[in-house]
Parts: sequence; structure tokens; C-alpha cells
Amino acid sequence: MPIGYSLFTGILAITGQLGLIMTGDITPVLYPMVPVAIYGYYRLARGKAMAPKWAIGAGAVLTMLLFGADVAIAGTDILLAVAHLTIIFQALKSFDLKDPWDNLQVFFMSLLQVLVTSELTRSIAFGVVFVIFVAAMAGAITISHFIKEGTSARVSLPGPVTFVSTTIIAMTVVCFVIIPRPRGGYIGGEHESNTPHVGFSGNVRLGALEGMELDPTIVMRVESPAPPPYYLRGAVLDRFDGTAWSSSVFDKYPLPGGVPDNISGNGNSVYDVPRFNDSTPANRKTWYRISLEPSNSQIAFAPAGAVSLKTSFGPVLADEEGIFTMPEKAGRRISYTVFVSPAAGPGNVVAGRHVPPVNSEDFLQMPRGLERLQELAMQITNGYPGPLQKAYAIEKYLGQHCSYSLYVPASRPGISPIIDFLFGTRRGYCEHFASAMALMLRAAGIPSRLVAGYSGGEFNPVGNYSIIRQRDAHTWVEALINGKWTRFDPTPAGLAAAQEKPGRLSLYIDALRMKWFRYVVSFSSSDQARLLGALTSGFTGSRPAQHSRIQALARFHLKASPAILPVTIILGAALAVIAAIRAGKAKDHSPQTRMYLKFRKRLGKMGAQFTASSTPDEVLKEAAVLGFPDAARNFINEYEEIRFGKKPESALFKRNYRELMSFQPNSPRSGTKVQ
Amino acid sequence: MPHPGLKALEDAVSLALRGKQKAVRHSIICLLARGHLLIEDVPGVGKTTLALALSKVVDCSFKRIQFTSDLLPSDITGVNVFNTKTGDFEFRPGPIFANIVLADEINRSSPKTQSALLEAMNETCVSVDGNTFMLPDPFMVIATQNPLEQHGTYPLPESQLDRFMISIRIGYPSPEVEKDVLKNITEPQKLLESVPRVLGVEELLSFQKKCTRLKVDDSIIHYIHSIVLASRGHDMITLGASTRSAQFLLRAAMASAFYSGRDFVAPEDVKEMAPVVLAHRLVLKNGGPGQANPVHLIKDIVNGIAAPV
Repeated sequence: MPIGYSLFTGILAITGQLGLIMTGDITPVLYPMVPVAIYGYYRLARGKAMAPKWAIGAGAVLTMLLFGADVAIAGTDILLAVAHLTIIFQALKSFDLKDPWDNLQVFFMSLLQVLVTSELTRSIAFGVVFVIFVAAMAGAITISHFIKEGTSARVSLPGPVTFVSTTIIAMTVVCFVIIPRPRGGYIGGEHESNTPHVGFSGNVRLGALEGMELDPTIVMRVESPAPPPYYLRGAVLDRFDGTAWSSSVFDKYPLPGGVPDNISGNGNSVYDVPRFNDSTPANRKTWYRISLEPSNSQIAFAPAGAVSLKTSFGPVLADEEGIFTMPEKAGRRISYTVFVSPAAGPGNVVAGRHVPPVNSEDFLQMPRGLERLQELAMQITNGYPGPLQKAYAIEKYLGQHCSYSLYVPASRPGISPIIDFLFGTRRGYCEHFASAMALMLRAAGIPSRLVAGYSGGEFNPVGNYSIIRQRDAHTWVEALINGKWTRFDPTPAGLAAAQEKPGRLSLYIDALRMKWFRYVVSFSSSDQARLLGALTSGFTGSRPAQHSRIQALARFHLKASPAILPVTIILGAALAVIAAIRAGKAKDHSPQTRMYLKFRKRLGKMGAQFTASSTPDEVLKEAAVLGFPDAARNFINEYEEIRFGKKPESALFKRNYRELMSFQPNSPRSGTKVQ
Repeated sequence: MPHPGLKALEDAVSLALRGKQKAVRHSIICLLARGHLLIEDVPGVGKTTLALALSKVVDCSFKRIQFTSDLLPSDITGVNVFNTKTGDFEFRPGPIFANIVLADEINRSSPKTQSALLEAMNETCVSVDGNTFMLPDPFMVIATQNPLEQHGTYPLPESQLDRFMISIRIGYPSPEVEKDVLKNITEPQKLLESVPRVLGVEELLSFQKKCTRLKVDDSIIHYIHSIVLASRGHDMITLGASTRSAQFLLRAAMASAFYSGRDFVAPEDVKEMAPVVLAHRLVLKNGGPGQANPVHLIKDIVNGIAAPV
């Protein structure tokens, strides 16, 4: 067995195992199976003896028993149980590689492992596993072909193996890019369970830190032409009971729309906020592409002023206050695009009905026991003419008199935490600042509400997007000023400087993850259309009329039959490869050899019995059997003389050739056979 | 289209060994390629007749050694005899000093004696008591041997089998020829006497020289090499063809081409000669249902390799 074959088999087995372990769903008890398998392949490479039959048999029986127990007693998901089974079998098999059949078993198990891995995870590490798997599988199959042909000793293996592997990877990439994908991403994915979910709570209880303030777990990544920082709204809270904020809005309406994206026939759909449903390109100038990590909430975070959403997960629900929710929890990573119009303020959303006038009374609600706060608010805002100036005055007051701190002592019993913050500790975090401001605005007669969401985040210059983490959870204020909701963020910057700066490398890795998710996992029909558009515009250059015509044509084709184009491209590529191989072969041969080969091919079509190992002499005998005249003898003898001897081509050669190629034997072989 | 001089040679040998064109042709090719010939078969099918006829058609010196179990090396190479007249030792050349030597039933003698002959075959000289004596040119050994299953034989070791360029089997004649042989029963000596001498030594030497000057295309070399390599990697063969056997195959293919009247080696020369040149050198793996026939193995190997075009 060539060393390359053992090597590729080992790579396949260990890649399959590592891929499964990488998902994190595999029980750590099985981790030692990887070093065991590595040891097994090391022994194989060193030419050590394989394990005795009884040991392998006993191991296999034990493994099957374990599998049964895994499913029946431990109640493991069948998919995971299969994964456990293959991990043990791969380790076992590494000591039992005697026949070609054994290697095939390893290939099969490795394929199974990669399939299970694809069900369990979609991280970039799976991409790496997949590429290694494809390359190693192609290499292993190529070598096994040479072994089967009995030519492995004579052929230099690295060349063909590299050629086949790279060709297959290239073809995989091409197929990935061009094969239509109806659902926008991979199929399946129900089993993606172990990825960490992030939480977001809609209720804000003052003084109760939920432990997310320092949590670096990534919540989402935001890509937008607008400059950061972004304020991504997750909940709007309008009622304060003295200690906690809650929302009085429960009604949610599905957004009308579901209009397919303008080019692709399926995949992403656009949902418009009714008031701005003209969805003209001007209204879509500013966009935010948000990739949400797996989450426990259904909220689709969006900046204020959203006019439409483009999603791949189906319809979007919205409430009057401009909070968007998904139809169900996103158990996997999803992405969507929010279009923002500067003309639209936050909120003002009603789906399918008239927009009721904002009932300002709702946003002036105030619990009892906040008289000191009301007095303070009157003091601060006295003398300012308009609501905007009053709001700025309050914001300024809070910035000057209170400091940011995550460590706030628990409020004394009987005293409202907001009073404690304003007049006692004077220390607090965003919720304190925002609550104080909202309430003081209300005291000053300005309708206001609290907004919880995420803001800030760190900008990744590598991929031009912002990483929003759990610790970027934030609370701010929206005030109704001159009929329009305006955002205020009274919280002074405090923690920003204290946060550790991420290293350059981690930025690169995160950018890679982002791109993997954006361009590979959620690669959709609209992406295909965009790619196609870019390609066609590349071809047509700067002539605008033709440009648009070709793009329209491309759209038409894509709409009419999504399969035609990819199939054409694949067929074209395949034909080009075949033509290149034939051209390469033909180049190796002299014109006389090519004539001989054509004649031989013709004989073959007539039923002559010969193989590649047949010499010209044997071919000649077959020609005689078929009733070819003496020209065949002369032609083949002369061909041999030219090819292997020193004779130049004579005038007769071509004449003989033409005669043979046009000769029709009276009794083809198939006829004689029947008799 | 065989060479006219060689055609006469073939016809002459065929007078003695009838209906066996292939065996005759291969033995003449072996002669042209300056190789040694091993004829293996059961008794009574004409091994010795073929060897005698071959020696007869060429006009050169011929000696026959009948190998027996008590034959000594000096019986082959010759001995130093004390000459009382000159008071000195005098070398009496043995029967090996001839152009064509027939070693009949070579596997009947002890390995010690066999090796004396086989060393001479390889080195074209003989050393006796420290003196080296050159063997004549051309020099060819034709050995006959009964198959190993026969009683009272010493099978030739692989290393010595490797020195024979070509090994042929004669086989029983076809029914017509065999009946014809029975009808025209004559004394064997008379039959052999009827074989004419058609080739002189000088002529043979020039033929042998011409055989080495044929054109050999690179693809033919590659073809030969592929065959030899495949025999080494074959899973039924323990010991494949050696480098010397590859050389022998090329020389035999050249002689075959010359014999066919061509001035270049064609793929069919290699394909035809591969079984007779390579098969007797293989050491097959034991086990499995019966021992495979090495000739068939080589044919299978050649049929699995694309002929050059």
C-alpha cells in the first residue's frame, strides 16, 4: 500500500473525528479516540502489524453495545449516537487496515462524520474540515484508482492527486456559487444546539444588574455605510412603577410585504413599514446588515427610523413603537438588512391600520413618591423656553452631577432607587441615567420613554463592521419633541476606556468569521444574482444601454429557469476540461499516430476485439477478420515503420488511410457472430 | 517477412522438429540475441532433437554434455594433466570449449556441477587452477531439463535460471504431425543427418552484430520497463523480473525484429518475447488454489499494460 494512501486515509479519519469534536456536542469521554486513531495510523505508516482479528471483533461488539446503550439507556439523539459510534469505529479501524475494503470503510465513516458535523455546526471551522475532507477524499480515491489499476508503482502520485484534488475543490466552489438555493442557506440545521445563546430582557429593573455588563459574548455584527456608533433598539418601555420599567404595548402586527427581492425569485423577501411603503431607493439609502448570533429572544434589533426589512426568515412583526420581532426564536445565526430613512422617526408604526395620534398622556405617566425628582426637574428646566433646550439641560445636569459606575450599592428599603441615585449615591449605570432623564422629562411635561437595546460595540476595520457584544447592552431615552421622537443618551462614557482593546489578529479572525457567515453560510439567490450582475457588468464595460440589457437578460434567465445557467456553466467547464485533456493527448502524438488511432477507433466501432494493450500487429489481425483489404496491412506496417523505425512518411500512407476510413466491410463482425 | 537467410535456417531446423514453428523461431531468436536457451518439457517431445538440429544448421563447433548425478565440474571445464614428456601440467579443455554446447538434462547433476556450467555462461571464460581460458565466440548453451516433478533431479536455483535468456516449452505436436511422425519412422540419426548446414560462423556473427544496431524507440524502452515493473508489484509474484531480465527482453525483442526483417523494434516484438524471456525467472507466491502458470501470469501482465502507439 503506497504511503500516500495510508496518509490520506488517516487524514480522512482524523478530520472526520476532529470535525465532530469541534461541534462541542460530543461527549468528552470520546476525545481520547483521536490520539488513539493517530497512533493507529502512525503504526500503519511505520508498517507495523495490524491488530489481531479477535481484538478488532471484540472492540466492534463492544462499540455496538455502547451504541445501543447510548440510544436506549442514555437517550442520546440518534445523530449524536451515530457520531459517537463513528468516532470509536474510526479509532478501532486504524488498527485494522488490511484490505482495500477497510480503507473504503474509513472513507465512508469519514463522510458520515462530515455529514453529521454539517448538521451540528456551521462555524468556519466546519469550512476548514470540509475543504480538508474534499481534498483528502479526492486524493485517496485517485490513489485507490491507481492501486486498482495496478499502476501505483509506476505513476508518480503527487501530480495526479494534486490535480484531482484542486479540480474537485474548484468545482465544489463553482457549484456552491451557481447552484440555486431556494431557502437562502444550507438545508437542515435543526440540530445546532450547543452554540451559546445570548439573552435580552425587555424589562428593566433598576439596580439589578443582570451580569451582562462585562460579558464579551458576541451578540451581533453590524455592517452599514452609516458611521458608528449604532443604537439598535430592542425594547421600548413606557411605564415605571417606582423600581422597574415595563411596556404597555402588547399588540404586534405582521408587516405587509413579503415582496420577493427584485432580482431573485426566492430567498429573501422585503417587508415594509406601511407609512413608508413607497420603498423608493431614496428611502433605502441607509442600510444596516445585521448578523444576529443564536439568541433566546425573538427581537430583530433595528436602528430607529427603519422603513423596511429584508429577511430570509419570513415575515416580521412590528409594534407601534417600532420594535420588530421575528416569528420565532432564531436558534441559529441569522442575518437581515434594515433600511433606514432619515425622514422617519422612531416608532410611528402601525401595520394595516391607521396611525393613531400619539397619546402623549401615556408617556407622561409617573409613579408616586418621586416628588423630589419632580422638584429637581422643574429647577433644572426653569428658564429654558422649548422642550429641546429643557431636555439638553437635564442631560447636562446628569452628566455633571452623577458619575458612571457599575458598582452601585443596593438601594435602601423604602427609598426609590431613582431618588437614591439622584440625591444619595449619585453613581449609577445607563439604566439609572436613562430612567432619571426620562422621568425628569416627564416631570417637565415632555413625553418620554426608555429604550433598551445595544449601542456602541467595537468597529472592526478589517471587515468594516461593528462587533456588538453582550456588554454593549444599553439603555437610552427617547423624547417626543415637536411631534418627533428624538434620542437622548445621558449616560456618560465610563467603561469604554477600561475595556481591553482586542488584538489585531482577533480582529482578522472575527472578520473571517463574519465573511464566512455572510458569503458562505447565508449565501443566497440574491447574492448569486448580484454576483452575476457584477460579472456581466464586467464583461459589458461602460456602455450603459447594453449593460442594462444584458443585466435584464441575466435577470430574465434567472427568473425563467434558475437551473439553465448553472447547468450550462458546469457542462461548459466539463467540456472544456475534456477538450483540454484530448488536446493534451493529441499533442503527444504525431500525425501518423493520430491517423492510426482514428483507424483503430473505427475498427473498435465495427466490433473489433482489442484493448489498449493490443499492438499494431494484433490490430491488423482484427482488421483482417473484419475483411479490410491489403491497404490495412500496408497502412499499419508503414505506421510502425514511421513510428518506431526511421522511415519517413510515404505518399501511400495517407492514401491507404483514406481508403481504410471509407472502406465498408461486407460482413460486419456482429453479423458473423449471430450465425 | 523473415530474413531470407534466417528463413532457410528455420526451414532446416523444422525438418528435424516438425510442426513446432514457434519453438524453432524462439530458439533461433535466442541464438541471434547471443543468449542461452533453456528447453523445459517432459521427456520425449523433442528437446534434444531441437538442440541438436540447432547446432547442426550452424556450421560451428558443437559439444554435448549428458548431465548425470556423478558428473564433476572438471568434466565440463577440462583439467590440467601432467605431461611426463615435458614435465609440466597441460590443460585439456573440456566439452564447454565449443560454439554451441548442449547441456542435456541439466537438472540431473549436482548443483556444484551445474554452477560450473552456469558461471562459464555468464563470464564467457573458464578458470582452471588459476589460469583463465577464453571460450569461443559465438558461444551458446542450450540446456534441456525435465520439469521439476520428475524423480531424481536437482532443480536449478533462481539465480542460475536468470542466466538463460529464453526458456521454451515444446509441447506435444498436433495430431496430424504426430501421426505423420509415426508413419515415417526412421532412425533419429538419419533424421538429423538430413538437416543441412545453412549458416556459417562469420555469417552468424554478422547477424548477431546487426541485431544490436536496430532502432529502439523510447516508447519501447518504456514499454519493457512497465512490464518488468508490473511483474515486481504483482500480488501473486514474490520475486519479479530483474534488471538483467529487462536487458534480455530488449535483446530478444531486437533479435525478434531482425528475424522479422525489420530494422526497428515494434511493440509486438516485446509482447511476443515477454513470456518466454520473463516467465522462468519469476518466483511465485505459494498458497491459493494451485500454483499459477508463470507464462499465463506474464501474459496477463502484458495484457494489462497499454502498448505504445
